[in-house]
Amino acid sequence: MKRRMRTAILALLLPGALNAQQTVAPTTQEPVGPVRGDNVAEYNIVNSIELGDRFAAIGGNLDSYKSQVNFGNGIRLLGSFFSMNSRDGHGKYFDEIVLTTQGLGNDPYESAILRVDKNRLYRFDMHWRLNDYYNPGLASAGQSGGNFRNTRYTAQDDDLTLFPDSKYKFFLGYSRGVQAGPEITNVGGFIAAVPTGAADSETAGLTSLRDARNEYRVGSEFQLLGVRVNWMHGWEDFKEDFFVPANANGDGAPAQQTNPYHGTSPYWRVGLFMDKKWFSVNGRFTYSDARRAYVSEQSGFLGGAPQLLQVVTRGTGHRPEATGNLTFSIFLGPKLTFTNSTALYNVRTDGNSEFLQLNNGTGQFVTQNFLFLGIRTVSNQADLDYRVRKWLEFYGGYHYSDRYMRNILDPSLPTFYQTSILNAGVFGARIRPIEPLTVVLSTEVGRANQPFTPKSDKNYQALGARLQYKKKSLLFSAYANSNYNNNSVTFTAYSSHARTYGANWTWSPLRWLSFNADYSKMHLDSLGGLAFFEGGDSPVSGYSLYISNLHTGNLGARFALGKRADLYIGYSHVQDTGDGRSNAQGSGFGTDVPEFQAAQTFPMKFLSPVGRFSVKINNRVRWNVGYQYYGYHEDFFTGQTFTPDQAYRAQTGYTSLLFSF
Amino acid sequence: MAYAPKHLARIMKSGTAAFLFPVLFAALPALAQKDAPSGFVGGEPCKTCHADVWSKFYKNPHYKSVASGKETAENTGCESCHGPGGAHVAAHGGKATIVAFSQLEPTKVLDACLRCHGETLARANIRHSSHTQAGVVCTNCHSIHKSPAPRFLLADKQPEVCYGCHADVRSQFSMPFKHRVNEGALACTDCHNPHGAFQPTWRNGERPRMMNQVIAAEEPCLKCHEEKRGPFVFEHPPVRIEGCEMCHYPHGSANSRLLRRPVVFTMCLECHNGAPGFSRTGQGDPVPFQFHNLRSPIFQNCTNCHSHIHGSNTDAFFLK
Repeated sequence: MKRRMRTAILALLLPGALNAQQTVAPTTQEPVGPVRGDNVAEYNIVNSIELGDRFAAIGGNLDSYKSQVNFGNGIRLLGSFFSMNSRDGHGKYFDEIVLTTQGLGNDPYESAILRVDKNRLYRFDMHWRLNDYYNPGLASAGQSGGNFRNTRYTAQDDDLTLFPDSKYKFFLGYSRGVQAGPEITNVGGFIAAVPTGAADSETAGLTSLRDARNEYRVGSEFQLLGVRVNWMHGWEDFKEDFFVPANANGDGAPAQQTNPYHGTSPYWRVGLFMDKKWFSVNGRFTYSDARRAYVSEQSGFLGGAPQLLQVVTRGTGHRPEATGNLTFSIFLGPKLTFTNSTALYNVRTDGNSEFLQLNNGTGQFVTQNFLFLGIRTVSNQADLDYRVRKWLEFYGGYHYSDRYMRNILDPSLPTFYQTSILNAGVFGARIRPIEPLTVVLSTEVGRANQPFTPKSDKNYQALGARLQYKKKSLLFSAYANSNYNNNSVTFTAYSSHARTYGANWTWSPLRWLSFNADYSKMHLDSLGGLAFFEGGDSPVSGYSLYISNLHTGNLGARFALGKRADLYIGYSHVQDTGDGRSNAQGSGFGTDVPEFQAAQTFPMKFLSPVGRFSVKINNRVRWNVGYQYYGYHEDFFTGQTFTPDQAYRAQTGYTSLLFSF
Repeated sequence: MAYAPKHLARIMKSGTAAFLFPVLFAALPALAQKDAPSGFVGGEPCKTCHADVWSKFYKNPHYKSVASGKETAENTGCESCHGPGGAHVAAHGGKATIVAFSQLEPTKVLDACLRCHGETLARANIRHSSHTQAGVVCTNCHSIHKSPAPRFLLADKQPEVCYGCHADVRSQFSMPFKHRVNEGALACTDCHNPHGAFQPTWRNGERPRMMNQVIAAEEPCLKCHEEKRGPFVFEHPPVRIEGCEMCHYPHGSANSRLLRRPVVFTMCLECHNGAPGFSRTGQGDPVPFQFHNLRSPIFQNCTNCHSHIHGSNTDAFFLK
């Protein structure tokens, strides 16, 4: 019995554990402690804690490593799990507590998830996460931009549901997100008259950024005349402050800038739904009004001006937005379903703004109107689903959308109107010729008469096929998708061809052995018209042809070595082979400007082998050790003299104790 | 004989009771049958053969139907999902004698689960979702008896459940630049509703589908990237009209900042090429001014200067 249970547990854990493990730690899913937990009074407790030390040795471009991986050195709580369940479902204050954490203390990516539940009375969920975000400007393909940012983003969602199993539920929620840290960004060294900005000149400055949002929610759900009603009212408050001290960038353009930018977005949401034997109907109606108020103040001897300048821009804006969705389904017998879904979207942006410039007592005052942008979209989808046999099902549908847009750039200019109508048809099939095999086919063909940009969908088609074979411990799946879009106009053309192929294979042939492998190829070729200046008086016209052939593969294998040890080895490889050229200049198709030639493809490599060994010391303690290598390389730019070298090699690893008490 | 009103009332009560008692007595078997419909045997016999399931069932959210002690037989424990177990017990097991989910058609699985879980707005569109159309229903992602996940009875950790079918998405999250889903800082359901979303109201009402909507009906990107919500005095219209994915890959990219092109100016110029018929005016997006010598490195990263490209309150050209 004991052996069978161990087999069952391993069979359950192994396939999950071998799925492409992207980071070497924490040591997920290795069992520690009694499988069934410990009984304490009327509760059962299961717990595990993994305390470990990471190390990282980086060669090459540290900034690239920080922006892509960012694991550092030091001790941290790599992971933990705690659950407490009442054994009879009648706990005094709670029936379940589940707490999981990851990376607390020192990792760049941390999370904690808590659930507290008392049957039929309440349910509380909390999800906290931290993302240590670092970006050294735009740092690929030989570019290094000026928009540095190094912030820590923390977010927390709290949701309390009262009477979760009752017909009358109540919801309370609170979410908070804070992003804070230094950034180098464009703050405007010169100040020019708004709105033209034609003579404006910019310079980078160091700012201390802080964005904070707080969202409060209250709602309930109940039944009224046979219809389930769910409503929610929320407020999201937003606040951004940054401060640039005088002469922060030390470039001879002493300026000080503050920019408090605050606002709130109250919203209402009402959902109605009813699900009966032969029909279902549901609707979702929302209204929100994003409001923002801002003051931006700059002062100093700007741009070498002899006088002290002080500039204040201030304003308030609002964007009311109303949406509605109504969906109606009729189940015409067990085989045929008709669904019609209608959606309405209506939004406008409006507000007022002022620009005030003081020059040693001489004032200039300009009132600046918000750029008015109104969008109204009505769309409808009618779909029919027909199950011919148990193993064969078809669906098809017609989608129509009408988008009307109104735009006022300036009251002195005419108002611009635009209507875009999209007609699309969808068709698909699900075939299950034998029990373990499922094939899914899908097609969408669409035509839009007024795409907003040259890259927008105009004449497009999306084809997809997916195959899955699942039998016992073997899972094999393969897929092929293509997305083509053609958007031709009088003087230029835009066409984009994206094709993706891939396969995934997971197999656990023996109790102690399991494999995973997947491969994917993503092809993109995108042809578009270009017009630009390269120093002369006349713009240059040409074409850009961007080609990407991106291959990704993951391999993983896991071995249970006897009863005590587990070994996992894996390898992840990402490589863009570009358009096949061997140097940055290529064949000269389209425009022969070297800078364009170099930017038309981006061959690169990103690879990461990983290995992890875990051994059971006793029933309550495991020791783990792991190693992961990261290597990043840009073919045309690594090792070049005049372009930033973004390549790096990182040896990372960890050792930890996973224990239960 | 004259009766006082209180006597009358007493006789009426006793008479009524005398009349009702036999009726109720006769109806009791029928009422009892309603409480325990034919074929239901309760959970006790199940424990004999399925001890491994039962022994940890108290940790399962479905256990509350047992703990309650107030539910009817068809809403309690094993039989609430697997149907009456009488025939199964009599036959000493067998998948043909009970509702076995591994044998059910996808729509039947949905019917079984939605009997209790259908009354939630988040699942209002599940019957005609892309998942259901592809035959992916509850038991494809949820493991009711053997879930290794701490919440929602998922069959695995959340991204792994999704990657099982969406291997192409797994590849995207393997890229050097990506949202930190594999690292645990984000989850697929932060942006997607796997149970079927409402028809999107952004773009032209078309793809992508299965998306969560935040603050009423906005793209989920704005849940975290709140500072890009606006409204701004000067909006960059494609952000509002076409959405974030016009310039960014939402999952992962070989290019920094999840951009669709490795070098910024090529991406911007694909729209800003003056081609007539496009943009808000219909006259095409303007070609950059003459002083933008695209051969100079300073002009190749457009966002070096146009740093507030998502919208600005002070500059029509998104310079600050």
